[in-house]
Amino acid sequence: MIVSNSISKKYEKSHVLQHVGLQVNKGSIYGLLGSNGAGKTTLLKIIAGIVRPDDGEITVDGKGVFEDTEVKAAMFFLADSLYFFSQYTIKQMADFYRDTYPNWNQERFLKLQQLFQLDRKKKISQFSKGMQRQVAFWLALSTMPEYLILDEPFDGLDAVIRKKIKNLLVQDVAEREMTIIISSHNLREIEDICDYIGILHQGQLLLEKDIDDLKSDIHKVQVAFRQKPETEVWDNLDVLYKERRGSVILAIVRGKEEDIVSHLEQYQPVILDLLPLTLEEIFVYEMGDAGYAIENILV
Amino acid sequence: MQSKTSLFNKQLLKQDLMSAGWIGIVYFAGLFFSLPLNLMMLESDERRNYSFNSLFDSNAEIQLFLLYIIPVLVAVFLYRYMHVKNAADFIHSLPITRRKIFNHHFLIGIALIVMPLLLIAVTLSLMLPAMDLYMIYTQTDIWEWFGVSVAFSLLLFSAGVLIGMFTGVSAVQGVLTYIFLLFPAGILVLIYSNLDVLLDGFPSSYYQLTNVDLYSPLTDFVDMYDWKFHGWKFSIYMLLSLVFYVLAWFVYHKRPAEASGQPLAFHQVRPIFKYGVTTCMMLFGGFYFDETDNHFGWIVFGYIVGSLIGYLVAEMVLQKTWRVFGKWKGYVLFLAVAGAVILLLSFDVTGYEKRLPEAEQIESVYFNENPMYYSDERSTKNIRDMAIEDPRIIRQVQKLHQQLIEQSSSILPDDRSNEEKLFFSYQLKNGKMINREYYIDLDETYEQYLKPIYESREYKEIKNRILTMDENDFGNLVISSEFDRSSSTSIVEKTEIKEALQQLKQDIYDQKYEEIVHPSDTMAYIEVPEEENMFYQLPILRSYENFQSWLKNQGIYDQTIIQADDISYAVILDERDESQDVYETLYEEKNGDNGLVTENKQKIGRILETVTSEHYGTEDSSHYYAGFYLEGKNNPVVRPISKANVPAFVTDYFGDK
Repeated sequence: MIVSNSISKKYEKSHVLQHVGLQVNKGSIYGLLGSNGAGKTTLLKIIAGIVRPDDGEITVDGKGVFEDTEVKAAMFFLADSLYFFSQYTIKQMADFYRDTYPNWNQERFLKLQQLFQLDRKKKISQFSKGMQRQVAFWLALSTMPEYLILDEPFDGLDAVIRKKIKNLLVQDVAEREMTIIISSHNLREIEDICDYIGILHQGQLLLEKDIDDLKSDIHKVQVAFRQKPETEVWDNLDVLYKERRGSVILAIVRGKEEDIVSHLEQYQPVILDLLPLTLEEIFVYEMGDAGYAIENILV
Repeated sequence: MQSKTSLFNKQLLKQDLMSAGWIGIVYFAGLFFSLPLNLMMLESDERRNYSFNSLFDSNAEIQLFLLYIIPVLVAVFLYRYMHVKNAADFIHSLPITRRKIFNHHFLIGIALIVMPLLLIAVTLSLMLPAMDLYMIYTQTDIWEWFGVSVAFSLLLFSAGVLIGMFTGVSAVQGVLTYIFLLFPAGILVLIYSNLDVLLDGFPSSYYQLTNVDLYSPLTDFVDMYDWKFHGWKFSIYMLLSLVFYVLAWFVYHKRPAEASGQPLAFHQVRPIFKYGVTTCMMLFGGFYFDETDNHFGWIVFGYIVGSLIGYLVAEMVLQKTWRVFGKWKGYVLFLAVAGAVILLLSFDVTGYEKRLPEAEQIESVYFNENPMYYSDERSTKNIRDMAIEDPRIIRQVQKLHQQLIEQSSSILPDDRSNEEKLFFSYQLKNGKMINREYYIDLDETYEQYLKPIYESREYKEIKNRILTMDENDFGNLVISSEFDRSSSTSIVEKTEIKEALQQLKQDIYDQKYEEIVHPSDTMAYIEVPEEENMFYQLPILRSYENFQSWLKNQGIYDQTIIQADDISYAVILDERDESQDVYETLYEEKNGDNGLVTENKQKIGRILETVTSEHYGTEDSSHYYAGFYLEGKNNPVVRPISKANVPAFVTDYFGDK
């Protein structure tokens, strides 16, 4: 479990992170969303023990990360712009990781080659950008990390590869309870694999939610009444949004499904439908005033 | 799988070698070219004779170039990853402690520097017997060369690494490393020369003589051909390398990984850098205008322009753009503080200019008025050895010093060339020293102060080493003629030598102030032993009467001293009438445009008495020059006639001007 405790970081005079407290449970896939400059990369670098926070602390399974090789050995950080030693082949790079990460799994490395179909003897710099990204994942997964930290990992990957890698990731999470933190500026890019979402805006964590909770907690209600209903119909509900389209009322309501249904049925509606919300819609309504912050990440 | 605690990460070392190994190869190749290959070339050429003071002499320029460049290059390349964002993030995300990463790179750095040197040393040591090069160098030479090179390179390398920790840009690392290494010597020169302008009496030549070069390895190493790299220097270099290593290691631990790309990694260092550069450039501006112009106004201008440039450059480096013309607050503040300091200094708030030690505190005083370069002042020990201890003379020196302080007229360094340099060095009883230096025209007003000092026995003994020498140090006494050095008389009889020297000493003890200040021409030289097989020539003045009469009594006066009879004719020229240099005219044409030629022995004798020595500057000489043409000699001996007593027939001839 990764827990951050009111982390703050300043570059020069600008506050990049302010009192960020986040919690990533073991075996979950945590999506860190935020527009450019929100502080995602800095937060990930702090989690990976590259950058030291000015204030607050980060613990992984109760231990600090910075300069702790044992914790870092079980962690792999994949930066948004890749880095390989210049002129190194995949094999040489693999040798490097093998000597550096104690949990390196050579068997896995060889097995993954069949999946990626890349020549191990070839210099990494000669591969295309998308292929290099695959090499990075290949190497990263071969170190058998318990915590995988991915900064904008799907940039520049086509849909097929993206799917392939996502499958691999999910598989590792399922099989050996790997934990993933994945950052993105685009919700759609990661919503299919995340089970947890945190939104970072201007250095502050606006929201941190379990997606299942979110989905079960917020509902789109389509309802029509025979006669004009009394206004108190909505009084006991947590309504985030409401609009009337002819005789049909469309409302976004927070609360348990059964509660909402039983409440509305008291007023004998002609139509009562509960529709699923896309994650995107959930955020728009959930965030309310802060909605401006997430508009960018929903594009 | 490898154990977590292993000391080395083989792959990390390998990576370093792959990325920076080429420097080691270049280093080896360069050294191979400048040493073994060069020796082979020299050996194969049988006509050529060559010898080395040390192995640094072999292709010295290339060796020096490599020694100066390679270590810093190694430091820049090995720690380059810190300055590249991706690489820094990558390396620091690995499960390796910073300490270990740092040490790996440092170790490879040492290897890249030491291995080529070691290989060359081994090659040289094998070549020695194989090619029979014992005449050229010895095994000791090789290992001395090796040790010195290693110490120097390691110092540069560790300094480069240390500086690299403070910056996030490799180019800045390179440039700052050299500035850092040059800094101690450079700042001393700047501070000394600026205090020299601001403080009257500041002994700048004393400080600059005491080896400013030593304070920077870069300046110290430039003349490596002929100096000895002492053991203590070796230890200091090694110790400093170690200190830099520990500091760098410590700073690396604190260094934020995100500093890559930033000119300065620690924001706390920024003001130090900014105002440090501004201060140095201000001092440099003052130094520059002090060297090129002598108006105080220009020096102030130099301060302002220098500091402005320094401030702007520092801002440009820090902000990584040249468009920095909006931030003036810091500069104005700096000007205010610097202006206050300079004003306070020139108003002498510390009492520096007026400080004169009390008589009872003074142990001894070294006093010298020689304007010429005086190498003995290089060492404090020499100064102490040559100091005046007699309290009565010390009091006279103090009086003179007091007078100088009261008459204080600061002369900017550029105006000093025509002035006398007076140097005072007080050795105090508490072990401290007070040194002052003045440039002043020693005119008649100072006679009353200088006379008792000059005529004192102790001061004469300090100035004239011969006075304290034992006659037994002379194996023989060689007296050579002033005009014709090839003819000399040698006295071997012990008692005669003793007699002669006693007369000579008496003459010097008898010298009056006038004679010392305006010495007459030399008539002969004697050879005074200095070190083993080393002599210096001591001039015998025509005013030394005791010595002259001793020569006459011995009957060797005529053969050693040139007199009118030895001269076939003399030519006297008035400098002002001549179209070209009088020496040239007398040497080449034997007569000038309007010369007085005389063969009259009486007149020649009269002229001989009035010429001054050419060694005492032009102050005493008139506009008349005499050329003496000796029997059987082609070239004349040329002397200026002394201002004080130009013979009447000369002024008659040339007319009063």
